[in-house]
Amino acid sequence: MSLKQFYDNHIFDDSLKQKTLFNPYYVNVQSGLDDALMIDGKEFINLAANNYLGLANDERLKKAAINAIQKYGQSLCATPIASGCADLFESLSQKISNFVGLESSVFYPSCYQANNGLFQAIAGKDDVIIIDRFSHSSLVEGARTVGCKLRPFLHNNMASLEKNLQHSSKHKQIFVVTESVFSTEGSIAPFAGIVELCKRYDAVPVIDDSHGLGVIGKRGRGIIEHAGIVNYEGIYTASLGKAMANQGGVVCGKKSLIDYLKYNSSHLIYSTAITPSILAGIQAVIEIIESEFDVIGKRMWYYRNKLRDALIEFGFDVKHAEAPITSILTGSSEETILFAKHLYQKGILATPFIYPSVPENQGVIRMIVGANLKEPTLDKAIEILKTLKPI
Amino acid sequence: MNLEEKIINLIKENSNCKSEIYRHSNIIDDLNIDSFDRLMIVNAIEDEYSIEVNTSDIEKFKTVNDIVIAIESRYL
Ligand SMILES: Cc1ncc(COP(=O)(O)O)c(C=O)c1O
Repeated sequence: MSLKQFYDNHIFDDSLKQKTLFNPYYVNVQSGLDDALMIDGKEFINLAANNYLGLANDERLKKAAINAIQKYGQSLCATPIASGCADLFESLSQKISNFVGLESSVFYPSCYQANNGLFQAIAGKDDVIIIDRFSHSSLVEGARTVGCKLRPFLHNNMASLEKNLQHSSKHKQIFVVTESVFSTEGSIAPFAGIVELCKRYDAVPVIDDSHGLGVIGKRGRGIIEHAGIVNYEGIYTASLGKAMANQGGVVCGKKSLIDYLKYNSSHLIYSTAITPSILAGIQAVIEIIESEFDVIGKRMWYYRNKLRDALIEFGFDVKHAEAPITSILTGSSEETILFAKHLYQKGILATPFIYPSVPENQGVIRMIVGANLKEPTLDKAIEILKTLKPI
Repeated sequence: MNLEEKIINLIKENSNCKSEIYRHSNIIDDLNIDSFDRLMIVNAIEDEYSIEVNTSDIEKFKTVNDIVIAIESRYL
């Protein structure tokens, strides 16, 4: 194949952009996640970020990160197994383990990498991975690369999961993989029941709590607290770039398994360690959640309910959600992008999900109201949405 | 229930497909079935008939008819 042919084969199809004269992706953000967000010199109301608790631009968090930069510099320029581990790496892993309620933890540069690397390290060809069919791309791709039997089950459907478990006994290891909060729509996995089923069928549960950590549970400690599980014996992963307002991914579980990953997971061993300033930022966020979740969590839910109720009143097709997420069904990819465009033109940034991220013609606009927003800002967003209500 | 009816039922039970399903239905164009749905359906067929369908066959399934014929002629 000629070089020209190669490049011709890899051209982004921008037909949707041409049709809608709008591209909602890779916008040029020029500020932090304040009450107003600056994009191309204009102020926006940000309903797009996963900044549930609104901590991304918190002064305490910024100070902690700056102090860490003063002490360690910007990077230790090494993988964690070499010399990339600041002392914070170990102390924070203990802190986050206690926070979520598990024995031990290890940090990856991202949760995408953690989810990918996990399966590569623990699963083999003779295994079966039973996975919720709406699971995040990082879990699906991680599972696929193992090359073992893959069994998707219907979303949050215990009967479908059990049927798959019943037919899995011939495999060497059985993994059941799901997410806590499914972020396009805000549904929550019936995880206590899933863990019970796993026990009955000798399967290892793997839960991705990226949108649950810092969000659900009485004290914001995520799915294990939310589901009331004691002595969880499975594997837990989460992104630290959502409510945790930083970056990176964490894998938590039994100490023996975490130690095994530290020496066997190539996605961890051969990748530059998460930087000290990020670790310090995560520590600050955990401390804020420990002392203030009562107040911040209440505000997050109050805002969510206020937005959801208004949208229902305006006649939007709002998806039922158990998490502080508000999604409206907007139809085809084109209709969805056009709706995002109208919002954008009126100063609201929201997240469009189109096929293949969601099934065809089931496009969604997702809105997350960070607890940092001022109430008049949310009121303004609601007024704007009122002008766009379906006829 | 004959094989065709059984397979149509398994498609209904193992996908998000809400449309009517016929023997000539195209899996992608008519039923909006993606690769994960397809895998769920094939797993359910395998479980039902205690067979193992080759990956190369699964990739060739375009219509409900393709599935019925492949299962009937090569696996039962
Ligand atoms: C459920 C889920 N898992 C994993 C990830 C990836 O996490 P990260 O951004 O830390 O790579 C995301 C989103 O980014 C997610 O939504």
